Amino acid sequence: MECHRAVTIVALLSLLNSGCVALAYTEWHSTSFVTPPTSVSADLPAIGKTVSVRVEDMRTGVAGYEIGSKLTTTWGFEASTIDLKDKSPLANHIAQDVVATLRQRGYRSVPMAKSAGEPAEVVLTVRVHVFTLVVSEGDRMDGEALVSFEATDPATGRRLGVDAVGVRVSTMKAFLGGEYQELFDLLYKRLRDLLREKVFLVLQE
Amino acid sequence: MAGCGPFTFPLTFSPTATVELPTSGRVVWVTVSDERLGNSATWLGVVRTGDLVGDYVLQGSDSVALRMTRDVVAALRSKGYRASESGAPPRQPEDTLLQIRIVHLAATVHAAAFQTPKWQWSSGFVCRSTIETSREPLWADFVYTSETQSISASSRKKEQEAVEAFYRGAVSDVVRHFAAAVPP
Repeated sequence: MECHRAVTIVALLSLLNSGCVALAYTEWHSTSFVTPPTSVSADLPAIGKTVSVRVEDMRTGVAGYEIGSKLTTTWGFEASTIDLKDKSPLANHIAQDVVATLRQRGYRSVPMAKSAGEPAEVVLTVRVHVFTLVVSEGDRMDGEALVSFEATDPATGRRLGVDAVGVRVSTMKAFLGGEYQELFDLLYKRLRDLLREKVFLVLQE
Repeated sequence: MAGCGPFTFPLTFSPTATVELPTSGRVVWVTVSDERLGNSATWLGVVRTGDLVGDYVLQGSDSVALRMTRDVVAALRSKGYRASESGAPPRQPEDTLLQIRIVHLAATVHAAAFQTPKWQWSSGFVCRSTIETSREPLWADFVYTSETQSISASSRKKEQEAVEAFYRGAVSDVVRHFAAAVPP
């Protein structure tokens, strides 16, 4: 009787364990999603220098909404990606933030796609070179971002100023899933803070 | 190994080449500052293998910025510039200043079992060159370098060589761009 009970307990534990392993495997090998950042908006000032903002995603081999990857290092194959939930391009979110930042600084800034009506005095080209979260089977997660920005005079094509910001964050992995959002929020917030601090300076050079 | 850490892997680069100061040529004062956020001044990258996640750091007392200053000076001298580390006056009004800000620099190694490790490098430098007195701008640019390779690195020495090769490529890029805009 005791033996039967022990066998049953062992069998139940094995089932539970294999269930957990299967769940973990499924989570690891399926795309994870994070909620995009809440973009800030600001009204267009009535007066001020007109700036047309263009954001280019320079990252290669990834879709615009991909913001990270989960790497399998033990078994020798790649795992899956971390994407923005609504598949909205990362560049669009950065563009909205840059436009709002410049408006708050008194510039009449508009996204390039919407600036057809009014010729801009300055074109600000923002390039996203690096933006990625990397999660591997170790217990540390990393995120890094690198964004450059360049102001040009559209009439002459002359470059007025150039600058860039970079940021790197690392956090410890707590459990499966939710921490990707935390890491993304941390990386995006640090990047946004740096852009707010620096992006308008190239318009003053 | 999960739960352990953090791990650091010190890398020793080969010494900076000794290049004599040319007797003629443009005088250039070089400054390199490290503006990377979230890294130590010696951080070079991250390695992921199995459950292990660790950091590559530059071995010794030099920071990445100091090491890069010396390497840029040596590279400029070999191209005919009378280049020196900034901070050694007296300077002349017509001297050229070259300011390099390290915004991003990272080697990343992803080593999975039964696969050749994937090596990635990316670096971004904001560079500005002006005339000492007039502050007349000579050159301003953002120099971005990225590379991905599959390198079978089975020893720490090979890892050092691989990261150093990436780093040297990035330094060469900066010097090449500067030389194209500001002749000796």
